[in-house]
Amino acid sequence: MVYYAIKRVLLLIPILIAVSIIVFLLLDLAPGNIIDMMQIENLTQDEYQELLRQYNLDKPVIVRYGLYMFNLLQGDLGKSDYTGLDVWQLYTSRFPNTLLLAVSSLIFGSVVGIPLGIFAAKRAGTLADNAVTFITLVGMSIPGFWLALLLMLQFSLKWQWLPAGGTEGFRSLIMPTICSGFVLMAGTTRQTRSSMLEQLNADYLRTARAKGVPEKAVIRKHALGNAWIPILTTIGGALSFSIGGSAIMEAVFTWRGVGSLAVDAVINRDFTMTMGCTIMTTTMFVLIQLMVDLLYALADPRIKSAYARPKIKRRSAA
Amino acid sequence: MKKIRILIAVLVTLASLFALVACNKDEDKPSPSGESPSTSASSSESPASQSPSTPASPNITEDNEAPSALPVEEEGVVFADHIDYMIGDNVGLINPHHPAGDGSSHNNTCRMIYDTLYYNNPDGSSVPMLATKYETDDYQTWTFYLRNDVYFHNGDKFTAKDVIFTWQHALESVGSIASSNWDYIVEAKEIDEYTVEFKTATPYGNLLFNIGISVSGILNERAIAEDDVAGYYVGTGAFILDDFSPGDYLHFTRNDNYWGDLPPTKTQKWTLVSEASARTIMLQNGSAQLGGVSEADLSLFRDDDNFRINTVLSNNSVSLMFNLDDDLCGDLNFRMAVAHALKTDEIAIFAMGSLGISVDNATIWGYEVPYMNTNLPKVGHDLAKAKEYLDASVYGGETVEFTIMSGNDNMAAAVQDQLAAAGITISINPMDVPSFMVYTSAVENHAQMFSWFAMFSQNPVDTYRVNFYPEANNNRMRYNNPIITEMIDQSASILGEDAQREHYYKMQEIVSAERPCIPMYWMPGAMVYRANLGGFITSASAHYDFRYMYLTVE
Amino acid sequence: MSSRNRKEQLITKKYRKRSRFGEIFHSIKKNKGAMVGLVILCIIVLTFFASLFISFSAMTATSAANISRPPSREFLFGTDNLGRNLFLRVVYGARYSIAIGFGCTLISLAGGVLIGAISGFYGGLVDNIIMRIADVVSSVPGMLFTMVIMTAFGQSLGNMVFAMGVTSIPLYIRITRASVLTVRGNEFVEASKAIGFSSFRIIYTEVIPNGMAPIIITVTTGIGMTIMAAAGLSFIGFGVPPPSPEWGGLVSSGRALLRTAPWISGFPGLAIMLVVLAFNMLGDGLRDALDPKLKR
Repeated sequence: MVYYAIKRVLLLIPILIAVSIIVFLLLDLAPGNIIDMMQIENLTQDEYQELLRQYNLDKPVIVRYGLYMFNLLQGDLGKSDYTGLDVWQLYTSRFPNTLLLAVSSLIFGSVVGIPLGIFAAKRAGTLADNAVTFITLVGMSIPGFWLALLLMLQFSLKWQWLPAGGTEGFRSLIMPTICSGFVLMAGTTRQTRSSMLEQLNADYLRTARAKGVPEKAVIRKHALGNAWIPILTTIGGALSFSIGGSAIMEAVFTWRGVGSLAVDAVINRDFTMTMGCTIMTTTMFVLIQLMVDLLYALADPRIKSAYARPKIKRRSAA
Repeated sequence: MKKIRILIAVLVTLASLFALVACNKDEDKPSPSGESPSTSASSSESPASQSPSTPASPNITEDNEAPSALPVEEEGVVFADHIDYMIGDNVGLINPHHPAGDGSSHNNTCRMIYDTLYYNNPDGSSVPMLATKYETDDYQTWTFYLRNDVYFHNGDKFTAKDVIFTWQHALESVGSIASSNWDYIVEAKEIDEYTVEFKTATPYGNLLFNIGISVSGILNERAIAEDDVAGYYVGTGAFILDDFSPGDYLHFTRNDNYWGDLPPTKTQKWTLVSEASARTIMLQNGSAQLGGVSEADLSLFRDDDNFRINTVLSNNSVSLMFNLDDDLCGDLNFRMAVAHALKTDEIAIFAMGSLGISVDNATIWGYEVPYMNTNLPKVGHDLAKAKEYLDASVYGGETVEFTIMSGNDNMAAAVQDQLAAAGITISINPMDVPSFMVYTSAVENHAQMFSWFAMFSQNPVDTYRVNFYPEANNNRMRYNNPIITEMIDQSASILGEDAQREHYYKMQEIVSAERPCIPMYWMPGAMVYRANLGGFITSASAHYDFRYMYLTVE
Repeated sequence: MSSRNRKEQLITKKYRKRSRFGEIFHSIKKNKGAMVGLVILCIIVLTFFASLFISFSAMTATSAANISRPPSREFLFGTDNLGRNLFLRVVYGARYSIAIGFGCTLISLAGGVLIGAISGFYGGLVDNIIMRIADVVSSVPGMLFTMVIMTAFGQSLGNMVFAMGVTSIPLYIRITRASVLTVRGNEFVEASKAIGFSSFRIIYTEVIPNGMAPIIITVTTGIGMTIMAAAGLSFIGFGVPPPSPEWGGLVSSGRALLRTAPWISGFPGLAIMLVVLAFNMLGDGLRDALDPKLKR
């Protein structure tokens, strides 16, 4: 298992290299550069060339990529082309906010979603089940910023209970969590419901019930224990996506996260910043996927054996 | 039975959604006479800064006070220690000597933390600031006498050396907004500790304006040498920038050792809230006392006695520009056809709502720039004339490409619809800022028609240079008329009001007849503030002054 | 005799063998949720055809006198801030959302299923390489990728569909591969191999049809998600160029007016919700229908 984990972590390096090349080339492909973005009036051609030189933009893209990687390999993410601020500092000053939001959405989504899913599964086919299904589907379909604005109007203005933005204090976390976590909650509920349904009808549970195991234990220990994996996939997937931050949520709630950093960087044609964000996001994405896969192994011994160093070549499970 | 249950669930959820929306819909309904809310084009499209304040509607107030005038001290009037101001533009750095150092809030910050040699009043006059007086015989050699009681935020004493340093550093910083203002001065000399002498290349009457702008603030060499980021925050100004989180907020504390009148407010915090609706909510629930508000939400504040509105209009106009190198757009008949097909007052309302003020003069000039020629014939909506010009033109029914920056959808859709009525078909081509700049570049413009800003500085000398000088960065129209070029070159040396008036009137007449661009509406912005707040200045030259802002507390 | 025939007929009818698709359709009919989804979908398809009757000029006609009018008999959905008839625009906009939803999914399906099937079936080095490439592609932030494509190649519907389709391919690769791996071990595949069917034929006739279920579910969910993603792109300014009334663009255009004219965002938002809902419910129904463990 450890061997497997190390192998995956090492794989991170070629992935990062590939991703960085793709993103760098793509950004270079986009017309315009950072100097155009600055919209400087009265810029003569000579001054324009001089600025190009200052920002290394007169060099071919391979050279610029090389320069960037050279710095990166020394552990330096560089300074933002646009503002001159240190990329690492800027990123780390904002990342805790994104992480906080991601984790709290996760908690919100799971804590509400899983019990709701179990509830619906137990009452499959009834009005309650249909209502839950419907509400979750609606929740997945509402445009995020719409819900965000509606909540803000109700809670920040009408009732003046929650702040309309900012990242200070526990209160400002509530609305962004609900908005970001809603989709996750809906997905988790559906996933839980469907896996629980599969389990609840399984034969081995019939045995357990026949043995006289109380229903609650049947659900908790047996059914849920086997239903874990798809639920874990959903949650893990959602976490790895939200770790990149959501520019929309951040704009609406003035939540200082890394999502808007990345979007602004692309608009500004700020190579260093874009690369910095991409590399950090990719790294965390891959690490989270790895964590989820390792958790699979913990949950299911069949998978664990598949990860073990193969003494005989076997077909790996899905 | 199940089908019905699902339907009930559908209805219940929809009903609760409606309830949520309905309860929060504000009762303010616009009057149908055309003063209706519209989506405001994002003012992030504004190239340099938001601009001057001029009352556009009768019910909008204006606060215009002299820079150092403190609010009237009355019995029992207490000022709040702190004011929260919500800004909408993203400030990434504070450095007027950096090419990226520009923008509304950036320049307003410069005014807070730096002092300039002279200070520009909204009406165009200049009053002494760091300099006590100046002398010049020929508008080419200038001598400035400086104050001797000024200290920087880091304790250093202000001397002539700092002025020379600022000038030199500005000239070295390619592309910065400071350099574009300081580079009129080609030579600077320190006469003694508190006297400097400047020489301009040619006689230049408007030097005071250029050195009085907020971004021409005097910097401290030692601070910059120690820290090439935070060193730029050190100035001699009335406020100290003691906490700056890029893209987040700026926090100012009063400089208690200030040489001039002490500001009434101890601390100010300018926070970035990019979502306009959030700013509105924050104003309404008291988290902020001042902020830019989207046009659509203005109606919420108009009838509220707790708030006042200050409208600012820019000298810049959003204009429909033609690429004169293009076969179709280079045809004057086509351009005139377009000009007569547009209903600029409607475009103004669609784009800016009740804040929309269309450009209705026939001339191409700045809103508040002196010497506007009002004698020229109007080029307004006239479908008959439009069709006449169109028939005379080389237009053969093809689709013309209209390039815009993303976010100006409303204006573009209105233009498309109006031109269709005249028989001109256009397609809308949105691009993000850098792509747009490259596509419509002054050096090689690939667009046909595009919308951009005709930028008019408060300084008439620069006004046509920026837009119509060949190879000028903002001359995306590829306009090249040798007569105009020569007149622009002469502008700086023309002295005397009558001579200037004749000169600029003539220029406007020539350019207007050629219609290289069609100004549509002025760039507006609205600031909403608490009724007990006052003391800030919104001026014609796009640089505001928040130093003497106060909030009275009962 | 006739009563016996009658009985025979009844029995035969009940146990009549249906084709696979017939079975699926029958299960869906029984699932009420899926039926509702199907009905909504039919409405949407009808809307699409209705939109063909709306002229371009009718839905772009601005009117300064009718700015932001609430819904009335004349304007079913009210008007937007340019005085345009919102109802016409929403109906017309069905084209774009459907194009985006179906177009992206088609691209992802075409690329993803084929590559995924190959990857899962052949295994080994081929599988490894493909999966690593899929990892790389999914690590590139989707929104970033789409933004850059739109910037580099111009903002158009086609580019948006292409970019979003490409970013979803890894997902379909993964799902197909997982299905294929599961099915691969089954006896009938061994049997087919023993008979001597070519690999291609096996993939085509046995593996893909049996592994369809998760793919179908992902497709139906995916269509909804794609439409939402397009709305998100319009929000940050990278949507379909104006005056195209793509639903997401309509919702974000009403953003500033949410308090004074909520119907501008409201109706398009409702339309998006309905489409996403329909596809999700249909997807649920399909999954229930296709899942052997749930057969009752």
